[in-house]
Amino acid sequence: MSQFSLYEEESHPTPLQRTWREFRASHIAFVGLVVLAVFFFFALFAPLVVPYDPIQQNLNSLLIPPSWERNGTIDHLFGTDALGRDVFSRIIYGCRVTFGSSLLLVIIAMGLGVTIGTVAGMLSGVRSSVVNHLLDALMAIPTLLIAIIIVAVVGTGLVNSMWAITLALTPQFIHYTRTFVRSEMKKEYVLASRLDGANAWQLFTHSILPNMIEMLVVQGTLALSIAIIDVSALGFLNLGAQPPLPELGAILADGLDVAYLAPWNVALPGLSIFLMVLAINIVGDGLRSALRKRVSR
Amino acid sequence: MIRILLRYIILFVLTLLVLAGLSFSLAYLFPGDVLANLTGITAQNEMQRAALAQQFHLDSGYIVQFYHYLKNLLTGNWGYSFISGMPLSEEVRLALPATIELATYAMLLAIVIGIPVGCYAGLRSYTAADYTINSASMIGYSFPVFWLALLFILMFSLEWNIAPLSGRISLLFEVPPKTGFILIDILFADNINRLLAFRDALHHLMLPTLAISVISIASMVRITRRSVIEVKNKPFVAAARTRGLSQGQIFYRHILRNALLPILPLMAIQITTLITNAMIVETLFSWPGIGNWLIQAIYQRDYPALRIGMLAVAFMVVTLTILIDLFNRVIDPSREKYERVAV
Repeated sequence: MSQFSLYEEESHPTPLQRTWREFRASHIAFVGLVVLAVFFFFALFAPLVVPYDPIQQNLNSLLIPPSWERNGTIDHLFGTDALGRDVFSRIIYGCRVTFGSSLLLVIIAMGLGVTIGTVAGMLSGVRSSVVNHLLDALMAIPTLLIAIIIVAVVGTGLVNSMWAITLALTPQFIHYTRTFVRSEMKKEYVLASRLDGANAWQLFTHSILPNMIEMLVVQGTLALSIAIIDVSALGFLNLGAQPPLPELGAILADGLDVAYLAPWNVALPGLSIFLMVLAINIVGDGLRSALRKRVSR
Repeated sequence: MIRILLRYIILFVLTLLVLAGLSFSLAYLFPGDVLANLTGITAQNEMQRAALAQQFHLDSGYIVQFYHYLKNLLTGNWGYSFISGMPLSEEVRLALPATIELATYAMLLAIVIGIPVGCYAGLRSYTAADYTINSASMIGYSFPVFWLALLFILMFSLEWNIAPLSGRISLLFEVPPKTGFILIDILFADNINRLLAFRDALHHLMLPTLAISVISIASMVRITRRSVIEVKNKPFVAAARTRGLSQGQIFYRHILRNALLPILPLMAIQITTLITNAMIVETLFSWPGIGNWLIQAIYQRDYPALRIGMLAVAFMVVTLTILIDLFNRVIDPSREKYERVAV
């Protein structure tokens, strides 16, 4: 770049701003972000949005079709289920439970994974090799299996299924962190800090962590989509959230009994899981390609 | 080479030991009587109980117990199911192949469809065709498998009535389970019209396989596309082009070979997802596989079955993963340590 450029701005965008520009340039990714924001809004402010109590049963309005069908009423936007509960309210609360618990468990798994992964990455020799191989074995065990075992030992419930999924997600965070820390430790800027006398903790917080955050965000979105599918799958199999709690998978399983009579009870909760996962995947993909473009430019 | 092989064998044995230890400790962790969890037999009287405890060395330390547990595992004495009272080795022998069969066909579909489509999208990267394929794969990848299977059931079985709802084969055909793989068993079966039975079995296979493979195909397309794009921009491809090779030559000789290498370790990760999806789909289609069996076991609190089922599934997955890693190492010696990349 020339030294004196009258027309170009003097300010240089930070890496974060550049990523944001690249991200915004992709319309699909931006739409995904908006959809995700809507879901996030639902999760945060569910009590303000819903018209009815999600577990309030109403015997006078059983199996009312959604409002766009001929027999539907606008009182119940998405219709009602076999116990007269408002499906719209249940789905909004379901988004809150499913999305919220998934977000929480991804954050826990990330925290655990980064801690162990960093320690493993700074170690070397036999100890790290043992960690590495044990992790590979753990990564291979399906989530469903871990969940089944945990449910058998401590019983069903949303929290127990969350632990199972956390346990299944943590190894991949450990793995990525470990690989990243290991490759970063060989770079010269880390060596420079080291020569300045930085200890391991300072190295981590000042040199490695700032570079790792982007990778973590991308991995986090991936893990979030997996977590949502797993939470709802366990709820659906009756191994996770238990029926009165409005969890999207459990709502779907509830609707299964009347699937032929009232297909919207199966279609709508499934659709909202699908949309949520799709939005997260689109945002994750957009973020990744934005980062890729930023680095390659 | 021998060193690598030895290392993998040690890794394999160690992992299996850890898994066996885990399944042994489950007998203690599960609620209820340890002896009953371990054997699956509820002792009727003190004498039988003492004899069983003697057989499993319950009075000795944990290490001795574990040693005898391992010995029992290796000799096929896996205990009995609480619910059916059948030997667990027999039940697993029938259930596991059904799952493997389902997963194999889904994987085959994913390879046969996913890799060519992914290559096509990768070669035409950032064109309309690529965007279409990419969006389609993104949508396929985002489906929760249980919902997809339900939609298939609602559409194909209930609305259009072109596929059966559940099971592996119509009850009209009597197929003795020899290998556990239904399509092979039909070939061995006597006294039935094999062609009709074969068609019927394929009809039954169609929906569950499709439900699982949609997700596998989508992730395979994404992996392949990414890999092809990465290889396409490498200097050696440009060098090949300057040497005047045709597009086909460049693709088959240079791009395809190098692009397929990183796909293999990713397939190893796919297997875990695949088996999980297969297990969920089985419950919806009443497919008599290990997933359905395990979930029935947890509903009925059949602890010995859970203990063995966990070991069997983990064994299968770990074996496949390590075999793929080993294979990858053999065909690609340049890779010191394989890297796992995200989908």
